[in-house]
Amino acid sequence: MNPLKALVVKEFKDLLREPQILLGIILAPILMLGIMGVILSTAFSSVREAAAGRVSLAVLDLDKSVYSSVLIDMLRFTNASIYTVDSRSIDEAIVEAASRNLKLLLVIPSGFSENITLGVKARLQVYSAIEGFSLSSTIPSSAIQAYIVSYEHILVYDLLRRIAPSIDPSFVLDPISLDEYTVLRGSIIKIPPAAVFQRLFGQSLMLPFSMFMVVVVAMQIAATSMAKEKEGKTLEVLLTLPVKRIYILMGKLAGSILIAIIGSISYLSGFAIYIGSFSLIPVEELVGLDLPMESIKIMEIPLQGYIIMGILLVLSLIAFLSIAIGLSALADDVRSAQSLLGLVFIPLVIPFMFSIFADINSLPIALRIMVYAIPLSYPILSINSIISGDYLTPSLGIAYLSIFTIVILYIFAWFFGSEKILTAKIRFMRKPKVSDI
Amino acid sequence: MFYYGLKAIEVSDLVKIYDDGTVALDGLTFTVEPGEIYGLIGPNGAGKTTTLRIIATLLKPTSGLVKVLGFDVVDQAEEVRRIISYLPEEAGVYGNLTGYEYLSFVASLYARNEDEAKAMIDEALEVSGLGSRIRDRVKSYSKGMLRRLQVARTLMVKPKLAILDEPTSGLDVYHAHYVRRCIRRYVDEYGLTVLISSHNMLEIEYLCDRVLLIHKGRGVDEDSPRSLKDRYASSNMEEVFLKAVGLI
Repeated sequence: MNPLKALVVKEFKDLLREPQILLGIILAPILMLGIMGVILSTAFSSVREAAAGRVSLAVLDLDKSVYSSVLIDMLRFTNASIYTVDSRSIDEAIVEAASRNLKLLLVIPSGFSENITLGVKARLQVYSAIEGFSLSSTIPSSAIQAYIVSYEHILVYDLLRRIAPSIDPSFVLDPISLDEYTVLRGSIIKIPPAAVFQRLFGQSLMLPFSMFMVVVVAMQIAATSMAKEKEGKTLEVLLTLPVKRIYILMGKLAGSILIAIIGSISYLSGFAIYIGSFSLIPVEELVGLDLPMESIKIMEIPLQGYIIMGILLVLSLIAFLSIAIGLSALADDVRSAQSLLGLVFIPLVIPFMFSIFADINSLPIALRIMVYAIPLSYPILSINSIISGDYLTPSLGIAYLSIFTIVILYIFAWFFGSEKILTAKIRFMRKPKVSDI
Repeated sequence: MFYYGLKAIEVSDLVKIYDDGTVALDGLTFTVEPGEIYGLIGPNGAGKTTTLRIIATLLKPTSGLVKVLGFDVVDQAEEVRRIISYLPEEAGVYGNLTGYEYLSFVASLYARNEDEAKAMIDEALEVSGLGSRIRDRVKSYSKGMLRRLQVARTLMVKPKLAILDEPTSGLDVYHAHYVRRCIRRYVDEYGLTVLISSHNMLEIEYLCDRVLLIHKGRGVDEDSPRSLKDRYASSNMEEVFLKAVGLI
């Protein structure tokens, strides 16, 4: 068998069967996020069903006028189920509504009709009985608000027909129509920026997040893999086997990346189920029009963009995993290796945060240089560059990251070839034990 | 590859000083002939394990020359690794693999084809005596089972040189005896050279053709166990060592 293949298979099996990795990195994310997603999705769908259902309400008409009758008739005409109460006070009406298991009471006070006739703001009162704080508890009162807005439109139409028959009531209600456009990579799309952002949400947030996840998870696995060799005292034999030392490093890199990809797929699948439970409104629905294919195409990352990001990600993985393996070789056990790894996570978090919450170009020059000095900045920040049509930053990133990765590989290949891999310890002052000699 | 006329091991004026200044070896010199079982004995800290690790290409000498069948352990480390098999005193096995998977992994690195790998594994199954437990995860093995698996792993590849550090450590009397017989059989049948370090003087006497007494990183005396006992008028090797270093 090819020695590299044998090493990768060994790493893969040994790591995949490690309970800490199998449970913590592969099974837990999809199970936990998935279950949370299913619970939320069930909750949201029950809310949607409640919102779509018939609203039942009690109505206390203290005005008994034409306008109040029109309002009640309109409510009956829509989907509401009306029960008219004949109480003399609001308190009595609330008690009566409750006795009929009605959560809503609409009160039409006396003088309602008179105010409308005199052109004075009329008032309505809605009493909502809340029994719990579930998502669906506010739906009925929201439905009433929608009915009242429809009723207001009827009043405006009626009023205008009487006092200014030549004016179009729809113009008075909505005199300005705003057409929003977004300019992306030099192309104009007839979609508001908010909708574009929502459309690009998956690319501008999920992609950096996925990359961040893959690198962080792979580093943890790689560090565990190396530290396990020391903790389990398997390293000495491994280093005397007839295989090039660089293959041992490559086997660990490849095994860790494979497990990290499985772990990340698990995490992202769980995350997708979780996010999917919120059921984001599709852009087409949001802007109320069918998007032309060209607009959708402009909003998607082109193939060469994905290729560039893939190269950047692979280079980062090799560099950062080599660092993780090298650092963990200095530790005596898995726990110490994970603590050491914490030091490397800090520069990983910085570009990730900027990619989501800030625009790198708006930063002071010193901070910008610092972010660009971190190799992992490039795959993450390149996503936004590629979306906005800038290919210079990712290309510079590939050049910089290639040099960085070659230097790192050279250092760690030397480290693996030397006796330091066996003797170097993070406790530099430690003398070798007598039994070691 | 022909090794006729070459020494199995040549160690000449070997010095090893660790980064913290500890002098582990201070001019050690010895040679081992092909097909010989050569023992290193000495107290803890004498430099036995450092010597084995240098010959196994794990550590680099500070000065001096070390060759295995003519290959320099520093400049030709990869060639050396192809012809040796090393059993450290505390050798672990990947706990999540089965014994069989571990043997297959090692065999695949030494064997030239699948038939050769299968023959190696069959040998190891016999030497380890693990029976059906070979299909169980290694983490479920006892200390003795682990050691037998490691001894089997070391011998199955039929190396030109087997480097064994306390080979029967952790084994009961029955299994220790069995492992010693296996080592002897491999030397007789396949012409292996064995370099062995042990605190078990009975083991040294039973196995070794020649023995080197090491003290403070230097060779004190060297001969067959019988000749050494005669020379120092001692009934056992412990007494030989103590007399050789002037402690009694």
